[in-house]
Amino acid sequence: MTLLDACKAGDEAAWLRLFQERSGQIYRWAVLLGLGPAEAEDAAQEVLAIAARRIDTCRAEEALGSWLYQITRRVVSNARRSGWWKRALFGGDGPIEPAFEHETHEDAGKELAIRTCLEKLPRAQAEVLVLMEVEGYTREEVAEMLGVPPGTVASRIRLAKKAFQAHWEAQQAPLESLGLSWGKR
Amino acid sequence: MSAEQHEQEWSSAALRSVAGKLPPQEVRRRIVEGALARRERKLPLARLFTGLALAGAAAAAAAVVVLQPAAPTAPVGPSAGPVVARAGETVEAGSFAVGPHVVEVAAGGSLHFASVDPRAAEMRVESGSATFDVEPLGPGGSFRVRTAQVLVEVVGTRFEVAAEGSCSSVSVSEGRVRVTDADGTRYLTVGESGRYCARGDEATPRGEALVREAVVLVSRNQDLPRAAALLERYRADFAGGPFEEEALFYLTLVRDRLGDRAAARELAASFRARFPGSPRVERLERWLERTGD
Repeated sequence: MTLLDACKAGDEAAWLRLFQERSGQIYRWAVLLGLGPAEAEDAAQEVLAIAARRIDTCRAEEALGSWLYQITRRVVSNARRSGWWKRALFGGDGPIEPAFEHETHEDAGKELAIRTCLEKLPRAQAEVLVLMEVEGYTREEVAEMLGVPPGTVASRIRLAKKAFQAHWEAQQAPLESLGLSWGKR
Repeated sequence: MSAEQHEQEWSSAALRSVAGKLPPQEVRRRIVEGALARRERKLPLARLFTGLALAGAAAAAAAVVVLQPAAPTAPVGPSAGPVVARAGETVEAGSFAVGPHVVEVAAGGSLHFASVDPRAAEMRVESGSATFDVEPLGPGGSFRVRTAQVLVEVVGTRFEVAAEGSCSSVSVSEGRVRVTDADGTRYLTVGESGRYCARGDEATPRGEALVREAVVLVSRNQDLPRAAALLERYRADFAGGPFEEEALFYLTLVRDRLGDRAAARELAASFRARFPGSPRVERLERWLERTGD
């Protein structure tokens, strides 16, 4: 019996395993799609709770990742919409706290820089970039996850890489002037 | 390979450096526990529907009375369920539904609904007291209650807020709330209560502007020395002001990023002492640990 089947059958141990296996990945998606650490934690809980209530709509074990991602993008989108007042109050346009564990200060700074650049991309481009470059999905898989033709994914990834590169370069200047950059190699 | 291609490859490699990154173990544990707890809860929409149905039944009963004035009528008792709150409305004693949340205004009390969006509810206790039964808020959700002296933000809970002349009191019967007044921000948990009175010197917009500008600089990772100066100024000019928690938190991060680790550690210790219930204590400690020597 697959993990999905066991969950559908109401096996508590299977649910616990699924939650443990997927919590980190869902949190990472939420962070890279633009939520802060606390919001992403809350979103990950919500995604898993929704998944538990709607598990019958997941058709196959192989589609579990894609299915969870589709829930995640809806939850993240809602969270971003309803969090507008925080952004309006503090006006911050980039991440402040690292969301992941890092060995060094430089790595933590690099994570913040990456998230800042992703924040500046149009949502559709950032999403494709995260799925292909970070998560390693193929163009066809991403097309299926997002419900768009593979050609659209190809076009978005090309634009996304170019835009990310431009923001990345622009971001280095102020950091270097403060002596905070990890530098280019 | 062209220079442009080389640069693009380099930034792609940077991007891939977050592949497989995970949150700290503690965060993963909280996600799993929170998801297991949320899974069991009734869908908020189902509750809203119940509230609407009850309100609809009460309205239908009232309509029957109005349309048949000549018929003998039985005395109409109090409504069986909460009435759906409307934005902009000021209400007196009764039970009101804001989405899945329920607000009970005590006899003699008065409450104004500024927003009845269940994900961003906001209201003001004008006088008397009201009890708030708040369902778990989704990501980014907020539930705020104001009085003249205090702002109470829900972390998922049941609590009571009373406006009594120039003072307000807050007591928590379930969960935890964040309370902000002119003296700063603090957390109240189950069984705790607080009383907050007006002071002559209200927090000024200038103080908020200092913190806001500093936070923008920090979020952009730009001009951190200026951000530090702004936050220091806020702390000097508005000691104990409503943004003290934000100012101290960001100042700690900025000092650390600027390499002044001793100052950062000292500030973190101050933060821990001043806001022991804040979830930022753990984040600060994790951050300093991670970036430690």
